[in-house]
Amino acid sequence: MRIFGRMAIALAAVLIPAACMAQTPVTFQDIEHSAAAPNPGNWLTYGGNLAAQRFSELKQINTDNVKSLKVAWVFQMGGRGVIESVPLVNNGIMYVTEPPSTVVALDARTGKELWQYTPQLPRDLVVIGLFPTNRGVALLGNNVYLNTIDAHLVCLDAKTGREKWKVEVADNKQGFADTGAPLAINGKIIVGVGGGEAGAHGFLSAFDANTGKLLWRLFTVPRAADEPGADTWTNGSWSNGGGTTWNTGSYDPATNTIYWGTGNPAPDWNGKGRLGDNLFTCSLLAIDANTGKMKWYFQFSPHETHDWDSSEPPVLFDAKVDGQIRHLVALANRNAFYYVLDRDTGKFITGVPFAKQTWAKGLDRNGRPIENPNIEPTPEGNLVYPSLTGGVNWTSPCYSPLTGLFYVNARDAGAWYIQGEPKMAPGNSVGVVGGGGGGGRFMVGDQDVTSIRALDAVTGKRVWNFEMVGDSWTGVLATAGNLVFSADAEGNFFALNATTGENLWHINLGAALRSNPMTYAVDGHQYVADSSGNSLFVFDLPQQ
Amino acid sequence: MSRLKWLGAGALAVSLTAWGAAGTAIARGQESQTNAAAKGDPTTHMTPAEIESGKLNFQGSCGECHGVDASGGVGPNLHGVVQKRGPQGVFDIIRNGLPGTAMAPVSSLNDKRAWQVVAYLKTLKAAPGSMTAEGDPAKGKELYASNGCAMCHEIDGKGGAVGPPLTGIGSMRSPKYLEEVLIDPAKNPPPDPALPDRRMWTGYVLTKVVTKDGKMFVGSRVNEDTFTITLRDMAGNYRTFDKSKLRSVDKEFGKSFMPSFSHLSESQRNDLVAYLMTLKGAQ
Repeated sequence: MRIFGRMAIALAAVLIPAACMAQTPVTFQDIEHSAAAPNPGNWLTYGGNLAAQRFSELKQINTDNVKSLKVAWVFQMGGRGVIESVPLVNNGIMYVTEPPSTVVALDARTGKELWQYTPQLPRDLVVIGLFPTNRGVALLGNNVYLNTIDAHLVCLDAKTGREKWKVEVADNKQGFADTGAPLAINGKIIVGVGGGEAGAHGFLSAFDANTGKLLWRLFTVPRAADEPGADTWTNGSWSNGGGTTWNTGSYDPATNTIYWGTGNPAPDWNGKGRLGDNLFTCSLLAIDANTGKMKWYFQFSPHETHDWDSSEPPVLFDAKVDGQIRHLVALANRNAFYYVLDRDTGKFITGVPFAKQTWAKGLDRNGRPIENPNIEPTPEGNLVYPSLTGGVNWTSPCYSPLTGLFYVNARDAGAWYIQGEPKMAPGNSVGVVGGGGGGGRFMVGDQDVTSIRALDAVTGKRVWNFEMVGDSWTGVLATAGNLVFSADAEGNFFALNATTGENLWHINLGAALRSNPMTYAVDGHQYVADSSGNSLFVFDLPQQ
Repeated sequence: MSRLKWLGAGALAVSLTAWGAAGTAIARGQESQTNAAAKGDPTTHMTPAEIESGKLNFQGSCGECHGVDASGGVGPNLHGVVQKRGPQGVFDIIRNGLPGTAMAPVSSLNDKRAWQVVAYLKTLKAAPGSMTAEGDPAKGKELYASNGCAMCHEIDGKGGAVGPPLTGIGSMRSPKYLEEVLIDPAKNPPPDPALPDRRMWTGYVLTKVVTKDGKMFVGSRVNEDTFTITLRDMAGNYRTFDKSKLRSVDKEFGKSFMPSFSHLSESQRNDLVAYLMTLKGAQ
């Protein structure tokens, strides 16, 4: 559990010079120490570390010198689409994805391409949700693991990009798609599914990392009347599905527990036909990684009707609560509340709004929302905060063990929620409105305000706020240089003082940044990376 | 002028004029109708279910700007648009957007769904008389000149750049909208075609900035991000400010450079609207 402790960080953050770039196997122990000593220059998993803290022990770039940051190199991606990928870096080699499902390996010092892989996609691909994208790969052993837009898991040789094997995760024709990064743990690759707009029946899968054999599958919504949770859906409405698992979760090796969020029930904006809490949608699930059995669940938004998936990354850390060190999991939810739970028991500890919300008076002692009246979508449109895109969406928050703060890109906008007639059919998704039974009109332009917000990680109390112009869709990165990196909707990539929120540096990259920033080092030299428009930008300090 | 609480009278000692909506680029329409004839019209053999799907897609992808029932909002009313531009013309706009306007290519709709949206829009006929004005265009043209509208608005390359260009306004807006704007210019401001309005900011926002050494500048905001703001003054000059060097930034939402023309008689306003409706752009 060392990676979750605060104390060890201060002792550990020393750059270890790596040998020249070479493809080396990634062990599970390496992943356990990703972005931390002894090799803090490696960023080996989507969330930075298995706790999804997106905190790096690198501190060559810090509050004193960040103003000198400059572009080191730029990689122009081929094709079109929104880049949401977080690069992984192992020993000087970067693995980044391009939409819809291409992997590129680059020399992390120069940006020069080593290989690329594009899967064969079906001509009649069913695209669910907004647009095809990919958020990144997983690494384990000598392999690179890729989720594809047609819901397959692909294993590539990390040296060559050659396909070793490919397995179907779910049937794309039934409305399933995969856009998230897989999670590599000890010997297993954990893969979710997307497709909530099409009523895909959500599940989480574990595949054998060597063979691709399916080891277990946990369904997030009942499939029969006698299954747990079925009594929380009237008239067998569990059959419509929902509860997709489209974002990447986290993992606690000490207890061998996977933490993974679930999406909305189906149909989404019209809950009339599915009265009840609709378990286990809009929940956080704690799962035994060996068996796939649920250890506990916590439902944030019972009977959800506003598209507030609870798919946000669950961030694990240990901290004192009422004088005692507790094992915690925190989640800034799309419903605009920040939650802290005991990650061993699922017991509710804290829940406070972190963004503007009008749907709940608050949470009761068990963390269940006390809803305001008149918040349901209507045929004409009912104004409720937060918007469909939520207090936060898929973009990752981060946690710094140095400051004890939780950082999130928070949105303070509402939407006029519209209720329609659901038309549930496998693979039937007609944009945001339609199959899901409604949708909404967004606030736009000046009404759509986002801020980088620092919260006390235990209490959720706001410590500082950095307001941006426009609707930013960039995650947050924290480093031991006491910096927080993120970006605004207008293409400004910036660094803030992690303690005060003071802006220390920014650069206009000319197009919105739609991915999570990350940092890595090669031969002891630190870099910071994020994508703007169609390009991956990498920054460093001038060489001495 | 008194309603503009912080605008110095000196800075605005200019006669202010009518404004309407964004956009001049409409040349695409004619070409597209030709294409439609050549390629055939997929909307002619669509099932009611497909048209219904088009309606739902429209609500999800287009309703935000054009109104959930296509009756207009930030973007124009689309009732009758297929009859006017042809199915291919409308399809092309969905695919390619309309340069010079806030209408961007709609990437969330694939070709099949875009055609379903066209088929749905085809079912929406323009209300009788909704796009024709009652007044006398010739008299309206005189009023346009005598009220100094051209100081701020451009028609066919002539006129000011403070307000939106009006060259194609008759193709973009309904008489009802123009009548409303003449009475209450700030009620429903159009997007500013000068800025790449990807985020659909409020257009023509009156903004005052004061530098740390006390200098004040007033203009219409044409761009803004977290660190900078660009204003366009009454003479059409652009000024960009580093926000960290400003003491204050005040944006007056709900206000407009343009004064109300409610003092004109109803018949005069009808004449002015009738003239504006004759401005069909480059077609």
